[in-house]
Amino acid sequence: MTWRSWRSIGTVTIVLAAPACSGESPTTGALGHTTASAACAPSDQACAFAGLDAPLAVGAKLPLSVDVTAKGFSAPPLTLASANVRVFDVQGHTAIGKAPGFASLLVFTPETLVIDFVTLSVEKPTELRVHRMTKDGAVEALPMPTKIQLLVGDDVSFSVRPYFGERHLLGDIDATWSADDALVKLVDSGTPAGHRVVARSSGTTTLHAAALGLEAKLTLEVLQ
Amino acid sequence: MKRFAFALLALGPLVGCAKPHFDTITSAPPGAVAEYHEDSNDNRWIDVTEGTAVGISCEDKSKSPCGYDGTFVADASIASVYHGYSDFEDVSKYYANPNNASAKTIMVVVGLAVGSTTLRVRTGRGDYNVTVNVKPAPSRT
Repeated sequence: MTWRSWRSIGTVTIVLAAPACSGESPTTGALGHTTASAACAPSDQACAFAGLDAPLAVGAKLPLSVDVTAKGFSAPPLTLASANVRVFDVQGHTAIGKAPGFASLLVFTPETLVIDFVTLSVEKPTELRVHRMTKDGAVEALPMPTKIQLLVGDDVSFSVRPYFGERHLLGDIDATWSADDALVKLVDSGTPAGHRVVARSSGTTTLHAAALGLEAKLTLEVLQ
Repeated sequence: MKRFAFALLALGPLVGCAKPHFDTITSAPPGAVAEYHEDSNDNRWIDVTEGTAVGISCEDKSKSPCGYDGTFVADASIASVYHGYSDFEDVSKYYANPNNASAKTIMVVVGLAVGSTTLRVRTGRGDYNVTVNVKPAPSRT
């Protein structure tokens, strides 16, 4: 077999392996006994596999999913604690961003044994961006453009995410939403940062979402 | 005479020249420090950034796992120490009988506030002091 033919086999191997290797995975703890990620909608694979891939936003709440990966036993009840509550605090299994910086999240068993820890960064968001939500509650990865068109009767769910520059930040934020009620009906979807928008009549309005002292806008043009 | 010197060197670990062995087993996050150090004068210290944790493994001078009961930090407002979980991926083998093995002792030291304090480590072959220096976190604007 010539070098050229070996090389082509190698290329095929790499291409076949790429999807598996390029997928992200939850964040592994420093001691290697747990993985941590944001608690996600069951269908939101992108969220589940992204791990803690960004800083937590100041003022945001991040429900955490910590899974024990150590061999040979089922997960004991776990307690989470912050090593610096001035940076982030923990209530139950939810981290709450307090101030920019970093601090370790300690994972305790009932015997106050530290089974693992992972360090979280916290950052103050500089802007909000509007994202579309899928029907099953997942947030699309890319933010919306500044303007979209809807048809009367369209029913779309949106969410806002905090950003630090171009980097999205982790955590749920409580946003308030507003728009021209004559053109669109806003419906509380029950998610902290999300809202349903139902187009009612033709015209143009601006959807406002405000949280953490910031505001995001999306122009909606409703067509007949 | 030369043979006697070699014998002493070889027996050193078993007759008192051996030292406990500490290792840093976790990495510091970017911008932080989380390291164990020692020098030839038996000074031992841990540098850790405020608000971060560091995993330290410990074996006594017989290469047995250190104890955990009796290990404490003198000033609990500056740092804390917890027993870390270890499995048989982290194994100590004894000098006296290499066929005997047990999981290493892992301590998780957490820097709580800037300052220095002493970590007193209990082992089956004596207690040892390790200075814990908690460094300030990098300033953020």
